[in-house]
Amino acid sequence: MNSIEKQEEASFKDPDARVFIENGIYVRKIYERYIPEYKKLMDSGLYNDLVSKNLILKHEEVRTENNCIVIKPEQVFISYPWEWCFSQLKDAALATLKIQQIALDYNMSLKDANCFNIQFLHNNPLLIDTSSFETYEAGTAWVAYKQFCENFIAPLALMAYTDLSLNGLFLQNINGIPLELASKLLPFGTRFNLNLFTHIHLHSKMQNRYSENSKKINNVKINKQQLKNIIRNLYSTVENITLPKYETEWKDYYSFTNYTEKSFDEKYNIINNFRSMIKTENIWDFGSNTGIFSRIFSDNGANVIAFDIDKMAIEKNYLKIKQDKEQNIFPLVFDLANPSPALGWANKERKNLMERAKDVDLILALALIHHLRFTYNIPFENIAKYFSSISKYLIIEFVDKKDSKVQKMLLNRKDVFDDYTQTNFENEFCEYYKILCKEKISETERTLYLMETK
Amino acid sequence: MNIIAPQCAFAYLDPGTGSMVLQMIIAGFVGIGCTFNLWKDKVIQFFKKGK
Repeated sequence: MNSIEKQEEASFKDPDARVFIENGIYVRKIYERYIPEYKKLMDSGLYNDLVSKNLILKHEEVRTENNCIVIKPEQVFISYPWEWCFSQLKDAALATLKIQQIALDYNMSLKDANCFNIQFLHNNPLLIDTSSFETYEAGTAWVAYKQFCENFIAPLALMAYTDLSLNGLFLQNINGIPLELASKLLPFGTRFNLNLFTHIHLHSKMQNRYSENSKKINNVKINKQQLKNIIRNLYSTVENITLPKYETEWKDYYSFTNYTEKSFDEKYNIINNFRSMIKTENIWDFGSNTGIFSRIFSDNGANVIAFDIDKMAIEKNYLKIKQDKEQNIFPLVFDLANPSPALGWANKERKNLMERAKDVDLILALALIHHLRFTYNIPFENIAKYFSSISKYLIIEFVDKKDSKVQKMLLNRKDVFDDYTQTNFENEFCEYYKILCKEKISETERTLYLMETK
Repeated sequence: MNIIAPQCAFAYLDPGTGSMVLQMIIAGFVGIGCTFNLWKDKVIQFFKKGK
């Protein structure tokens, strides 16, 4: 077979299997030493059980070569915990524990429990690391317990009880939030919650206590039932971490202040018309808020990633998606002016967003340009250049200076934005795009454009 | 204090000594909570059936 193959650079820690990219498709090579465990996963019924419960990425065996088995999993868009909202991280945690609980019934156990092993496919958190299982040895504790606490319990507790943005700590701690740090940052009152006290505060102290330990330890057992009880306890710990009430109370989240009912409907219809003019399958909606306009596309069969900088908007969008069991729209937290960077060893373990952009054919940039220009001072040319490097089509909403939102933004500052005119906007964008269609939204100072890269 | 360190050949992760010790401590206690919940569920079931 003549294929272009390179090793996925994030895949190097586990010696039992490695991920490769063959002709743009992710495959996993399972090495000889791990094959007995892999066979046990497949033959014991564990794999089928997890597939039936929608907890593991399905795969097919492609071939064997040099005593390795090569498997091709379902391909999935990779996202990272610093891009997830609270409930996405929580669902990933619960899925990990469910998988571990089921695995124990088949005398297997997860050998690691980090966030990167879970990815979302159609908004279901799935284990993507098929080689993460090992035979459960009777009497042993869970080798991944510490990693689970650092990757899931600590960030969830920090997001719920200290600040919603604290999953951002993953950017500095890609292997998980150190428990000592979490313990320092959490409110003192969390020490009175027995589960949080145990898995974070006491856990941190135990780590410190034994960090200089030089004695090899062996003997005492934790029996299987006790281990299952610990997993059950972790499950209820995670379940009980919830956002404060005031964050979750429903407000009319989408700001309609700049649209009358008539103009809102018109905006919706114009975008819908644009949709019918072009053929698109993969859409990135920057500034999607709660996904109202994303759904014009996802409801019609296209795949949409709905980005927004507002974590609560993404949280609300994700909860709605779960409730309605939507599959084609995937919400992620994202700051367009400061996108997720490449991280990890050699800056290659975790990829920046552009490296994960595959076959994006349309960008939606609605109610966005004035934020980019006035808040972040990004010139039109830079915006046009960036967007045109991502996708062929662009639907963008130009927000005139006369718009009341812009007026408010310029109220107490010097207006240095002489270049911010509709003519200039069109000129700058036409360096990279041709305008296919242009429609002003009546009763507003906003115009929608459909553009195609030159 | 004695704890079994996993002898498995495949776990590449450092489980952390303190974390293993903590699990042993927790193991003794979670059973109480789980047993209590199990009995609570059985009692509730019993009364539900009785209706």
